[in-house]
Amino acid sequence: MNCQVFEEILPEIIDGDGDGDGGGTPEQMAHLTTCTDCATLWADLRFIADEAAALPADYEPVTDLWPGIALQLQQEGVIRPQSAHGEAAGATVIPFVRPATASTRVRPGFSAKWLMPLAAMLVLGLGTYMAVLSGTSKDARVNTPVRPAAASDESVLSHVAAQSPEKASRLRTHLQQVNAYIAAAKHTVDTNPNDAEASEALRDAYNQKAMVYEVAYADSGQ
Amino acid sequence: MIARAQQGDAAAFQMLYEAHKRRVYSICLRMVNNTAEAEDLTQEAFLQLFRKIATFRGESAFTTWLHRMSVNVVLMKLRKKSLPEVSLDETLDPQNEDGPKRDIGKRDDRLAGSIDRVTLEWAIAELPAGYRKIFVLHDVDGYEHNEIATMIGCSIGNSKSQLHKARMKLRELLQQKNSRM
Repeated sequence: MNCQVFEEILPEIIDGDGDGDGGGTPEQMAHLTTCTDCATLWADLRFIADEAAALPADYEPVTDLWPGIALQLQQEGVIRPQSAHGEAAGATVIPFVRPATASTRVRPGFSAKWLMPLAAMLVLGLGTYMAVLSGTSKDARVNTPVRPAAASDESVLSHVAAQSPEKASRLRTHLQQVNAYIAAAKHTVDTNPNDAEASEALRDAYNQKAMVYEVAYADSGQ
Repeated sequence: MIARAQQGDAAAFQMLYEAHKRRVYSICLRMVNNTAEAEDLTQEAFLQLFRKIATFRGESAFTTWLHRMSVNVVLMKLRKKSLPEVSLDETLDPQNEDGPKRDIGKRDDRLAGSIDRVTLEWAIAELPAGYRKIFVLHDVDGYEHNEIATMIGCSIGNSKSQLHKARMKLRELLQQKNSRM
């Protein structure tokens, strides 16, 4: 047995029978005791194989893929949203977006989970909206939001449009988003009246709308 | 949970996703070496899984079933992409610049104890796509050569040969890395 012959049979015997002693004949394996180079090669290849087998499967996707998967499956009719009581939550399909952070990820078993991606989208949209406004947004955030019962979308839009059509256009977009959020939250609460998290989502939706109103008025000088 | 998912329970689907996303993503990432592509493949693997979950009868472990499905999704993608891979018919030719170098006569310190997981992951990512595919399937994922041959559509001998070349290339990469440290 020489190194060339040993190398030729190496691919066949390297994995052996799993006992770590290799799968070659005694003569082939005896070569390892007399040849340092082949012994080193043998050890390295075994080491690589053993280390590879021990690599953990613990990489995490950067993006939360679940909303996209759920939307697709829901559209295909493969899955249905579940309430806390195991009842179907209705046929309403709420558009999904990928939440931006881990904190907005959908939690298993959360019956209002379909609202969270929408809420995340809304928060992102509002953030952009507020970023273009002069320093009033910070004040608006710290104020206690109120349910915007005294105003209407059209009155706020008219008011802002008189100041800036461009701002009114952005405001209209954000009102549409927040209204969709409210509608979705309402639907969930109607379906699951005892779902505390759904109720919280509805309150949050109203607070978001109040914030939009406040920012709109603050930006226009009132 | 699987039974609930087979009934179309969204919460059960989501729990399965949460429980297995790392495993599936890791399979995809190691095979394609691209995070965005790995995410797309992970999503596709779960879509296929959930579409077919009603057919899961429990003959094999769920994780085995999921693993195989994920690998098939990746292999299908690689076939469609026709990635430039090392030919399965390639022989261990020391003159081939792309292949692993046979440096059996060269003295080097043993790798054991000198490389860590991060370095090994780096080296795997550096492998040519064809080598990486076989290596990951056999050494990382634990498939046998006959299973790989069936999945990829090559002979068992080719699978063994590619694996050996992949390990040799890895050894070369790791030695180079060590020598620079």
